[in-house]
Amino acid sequence: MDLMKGLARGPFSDKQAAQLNEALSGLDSGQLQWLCGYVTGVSQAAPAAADDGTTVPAVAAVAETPKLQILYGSHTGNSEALANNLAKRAKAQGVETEVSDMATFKTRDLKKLTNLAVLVSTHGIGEPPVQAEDFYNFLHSKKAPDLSHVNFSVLALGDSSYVDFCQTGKAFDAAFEKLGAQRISPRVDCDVDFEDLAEAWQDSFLQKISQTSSVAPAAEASSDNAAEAVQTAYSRKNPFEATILEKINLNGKGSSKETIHLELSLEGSGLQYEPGDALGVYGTNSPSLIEGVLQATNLSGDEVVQGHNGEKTLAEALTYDYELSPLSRVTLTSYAELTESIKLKGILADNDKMLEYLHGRDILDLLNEEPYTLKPSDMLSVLRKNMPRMYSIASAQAAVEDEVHLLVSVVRYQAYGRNKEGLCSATLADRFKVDDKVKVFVDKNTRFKLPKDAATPVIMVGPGTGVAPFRAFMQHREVEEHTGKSWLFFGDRNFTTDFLYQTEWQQYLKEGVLTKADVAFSRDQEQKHYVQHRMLENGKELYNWLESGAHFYVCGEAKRMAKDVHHTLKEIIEQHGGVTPEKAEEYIKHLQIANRYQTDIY
Amino acid sequence: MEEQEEKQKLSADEYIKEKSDFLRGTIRESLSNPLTGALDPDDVKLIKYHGSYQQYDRDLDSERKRQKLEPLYQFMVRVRVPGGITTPEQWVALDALSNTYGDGTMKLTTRQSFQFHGILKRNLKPGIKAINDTLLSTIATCGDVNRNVMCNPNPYQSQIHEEVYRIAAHISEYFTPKTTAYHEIWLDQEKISGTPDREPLYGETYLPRKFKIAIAIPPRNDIDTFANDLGLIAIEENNELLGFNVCVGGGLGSTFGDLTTYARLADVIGYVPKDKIVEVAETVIAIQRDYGNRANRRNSRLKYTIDKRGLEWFAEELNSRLGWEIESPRPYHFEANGDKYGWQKGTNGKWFYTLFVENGRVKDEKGYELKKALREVALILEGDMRLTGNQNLIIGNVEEKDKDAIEVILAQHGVLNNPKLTGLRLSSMACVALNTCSLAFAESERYLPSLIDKLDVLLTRHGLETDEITIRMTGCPNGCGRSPLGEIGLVGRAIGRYNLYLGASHNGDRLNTLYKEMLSEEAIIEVLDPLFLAYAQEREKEEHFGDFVVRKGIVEVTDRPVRVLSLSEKE
Repeated sequence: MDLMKGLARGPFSDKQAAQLNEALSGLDSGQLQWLCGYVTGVSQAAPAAADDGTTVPAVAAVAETPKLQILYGSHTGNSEALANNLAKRAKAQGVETEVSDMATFKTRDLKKLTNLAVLVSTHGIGEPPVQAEDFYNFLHSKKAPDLSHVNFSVLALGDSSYVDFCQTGKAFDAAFEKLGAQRISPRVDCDVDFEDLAEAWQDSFLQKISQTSSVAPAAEASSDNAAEAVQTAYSRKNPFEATILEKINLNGKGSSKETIHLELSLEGSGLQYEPGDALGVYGTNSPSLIEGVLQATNLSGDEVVQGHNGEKTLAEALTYDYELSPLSRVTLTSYAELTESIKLKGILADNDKMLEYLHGRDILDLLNEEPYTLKPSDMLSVLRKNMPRMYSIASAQAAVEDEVHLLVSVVRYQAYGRNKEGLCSATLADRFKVDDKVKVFVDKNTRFKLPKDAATPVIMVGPGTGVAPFRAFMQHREVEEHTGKSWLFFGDRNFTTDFLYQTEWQQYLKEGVLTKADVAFSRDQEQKHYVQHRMLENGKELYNWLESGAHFYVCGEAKRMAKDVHHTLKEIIEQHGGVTPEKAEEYIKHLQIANRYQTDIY
Repeated sequence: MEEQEEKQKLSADEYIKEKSDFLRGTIRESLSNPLTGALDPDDVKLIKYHGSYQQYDRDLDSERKRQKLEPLYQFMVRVRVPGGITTPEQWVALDALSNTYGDGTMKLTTRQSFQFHGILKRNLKPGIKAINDTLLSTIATCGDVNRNVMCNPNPYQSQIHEEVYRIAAHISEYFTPKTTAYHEIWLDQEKISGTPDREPLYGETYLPRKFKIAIAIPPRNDIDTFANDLGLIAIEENNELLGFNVCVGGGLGSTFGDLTTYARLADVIGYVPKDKIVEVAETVIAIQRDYGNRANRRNSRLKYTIDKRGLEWFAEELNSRLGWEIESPRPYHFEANGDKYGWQKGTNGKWFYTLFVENGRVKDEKGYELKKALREVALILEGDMRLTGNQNLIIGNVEEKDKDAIEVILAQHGVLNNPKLTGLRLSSMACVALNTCSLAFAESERYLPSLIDKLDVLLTRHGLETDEITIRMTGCPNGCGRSPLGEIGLVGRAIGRYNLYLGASHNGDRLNTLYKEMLSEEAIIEVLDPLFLAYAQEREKEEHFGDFVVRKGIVEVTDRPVRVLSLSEKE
């Protein structure tokens, strides 16, 4: 090793370098090793001062190679084996090293990197291995961060009998360059007989990272602090237009459900949220429904109207500012008064009849059944303002920063001879695509929060979309390294298609972020199983968790699920606490008062 | 020294076997984990010995990954059918099982087994139990043990068939693992405490790799005896079974890019009288158990053990362990390795109908309701149902009077007289490959029929539509569809790309040779068309396509032919 060359790049004058070079040149490796420890000790005892009197950070004084991250994307295991081998060699050189599979590497850790080695194979005709797909797509998406603080090199594995030889490695190489990273040693493309070339690449890479060891620590501005200082100007009245970054139907092929995972960008909004908060979303009415309403009323839609949200055409107002579905009591009442319909008034006089009438109907059903010649202004006067829908946020800002994730169950049904849909969920499912903008605002929920004490256990009951805030909980606890145990109860219809965020729960379990999970899929067997059945089966343990201070959370459907879960909780306390129903009720009350039993139900 | 080194680096599978407590592992715990449709990775290996592969729907792989769902894990379950013969009652029960627990189809395999696909984890135990209820089993249909023993299924050319079949069934039973793990896990039988498991032949680490046995009855080589670790050739005299020629070291699997792996046909090392055949088979297995490579699973089949030490060494080791010498091989003659279709009269006077089952897949299609038809046949049949080594089915032991009824059922469901049954199609075979096999690089079963449609256009143009040219496709080079023995062999390299091999013999005693690499469908057609034309114009009388391309030098045979070790050679 050329000491002169290495030292000249460090924080030393030529003279110092020459002196050190002379002093070090006669030493054997054991002596050098000892000296390393000694110098570290010296540097920690007294922060060094440079020649010119300015203080040099202690980190830079010790010519320590920054941590090396090795990432592999392997189909057959060759890249993985080479990655482990590289790690072994780097560690032997005293470099702190971490090896990760691209499949499980957290992309948010990219900004912490300094030295990065990428080993990846090409699969099929120029495609990345399945395990590397997510990471590959991330780097090629607009979510990919600036990587100018990263030194990297790529080892590409492939088979030259294929046309797109080592294509994946080439693509990674180009992507890192495009994101600003420094290529410190050239990419090497290996054929089936990769051993020699792979070793040469390792030699070159390891040499380069030891040469660049005195790179100043990455100066990463804390965006958190900056963001906190900005007071957001956005609210329910003045929603932020968030760009859709990602939209995925989480239900597998053949599912009877449609549940959409959305990732929205809050960049530049200053909006802040905590796990447990909700996001308000404004939807739009479906074009076909608006068309139907205009036809039924013989209006063109081009009429200029003065609505609650300013002057615009009727069609625009109907699209954005008013609610056409479902039919509300307010609208039915106003319409009955306007039209002086005896039939409608009769219905309104009887609460049960009214509820029955409203169920499944929308404004078009009303217009068709009780026709009346409406002026545009009449029309608006009977309609309810378009209300935002609240969705429990499925992400934690500690993990996703400028993003917010939602889990939306798409509502579709048939009633009165037409296909109907939930206004907002269908907006998100059918009318908005990636890159479109959605009007949103943060709706704080102080009644659904993680325990203040990071060591407190949590029990989370969240079937269906009720699981959303618990994903936020887990993201938060992972990043903040909370030590408290956690237990998830999840349920849906079918295991193979409806296990929302399945791979994430599996990963959290593997990492220990999630301690325990129990699931119930109602339609996989003749007898329907729900989350409360799993609670009962685990009653003793659940009671023990409560006794050890666990917080109990329920999120999801209110009418049946939350009630059943409540009764089951009571039953468990009775049975395993050995108390009367009254005492069990008291126990629950006590939990509620202590904020240890929180619900977010709808 | 060398052996010590090898021992130190045993493959991971060896440790899994060793600590599995005779194949129990944590299969029970894995089955009851509700958070995943998969098994624990070690149990994925162990469950093979119980007759199942964990697979996943590769069509949905990327989609589900994006959906944050694990792969759609599902299981293939393989049924042990020694010699391929089942009762009609068993057929009806298996047919129903495929609907209840599987994907609604049955695959008849190239080794005379049934395979069910698409069984979800929660249905695995009830499914396997239901198979056992039919008095069939799934044990040891996969894994490093002796697999299902194959046997020529059609008695029309030989009096000795019944006796050979009984020997096949006996060998199959004799080498079944003795552990009670299978019965505990799947059949809820309790382990009798204080009775330790014993595997007198296998030991607790079983064999280094799978072990295949097949018995051919000349003149048919329809079970491809030379493709087996231990291939037996029945030798008869005056319609009586005398014994078997013993062939060792066959195996068709290889790995692309790894030149230490290759397809190899078995060599004929001698002749053994029938009453000694189990002893010889057991000794062959024991040699492989002791000398097979346990460090590198790619080099662990018997063929590599033999090539490493020499065929003479093997013959000597065998004789020395036996304590007596096996005799010189007896003369034999094979005509073909395909099936003979239609009605044949057996030597017992009953009738046997060999039915073409495209790629062994029993399913219903519009106008071609094979599965329904066979169920109806089974419901009235008084004989038996026989799986052939070419993925076909024989409706067997039919009385003369019942022939018409069976034909009527087949005709009613569009199964009889299908005009698409050209010589090429009738001689075709494909492995499962996508979407369930994790090893496949390319389509096979789902693609070959449409390729044959196109090749048939060429063949018809050249007047070759009735010529039986064997064509075999596999999605990878592991050779489940015995593609190295196809006169035309196609092996998947990538989606839509195949290596083309030519020149295997028509009776299974010569491997094919690589002709062109990475061909698209267009290129396959372009390459084969002139060869078909030349074959039509220049072939000699009764010359098979595989022999023709070799004679013409279109491919140069690189593989050595099956070696017959004579007494003089042994000295």
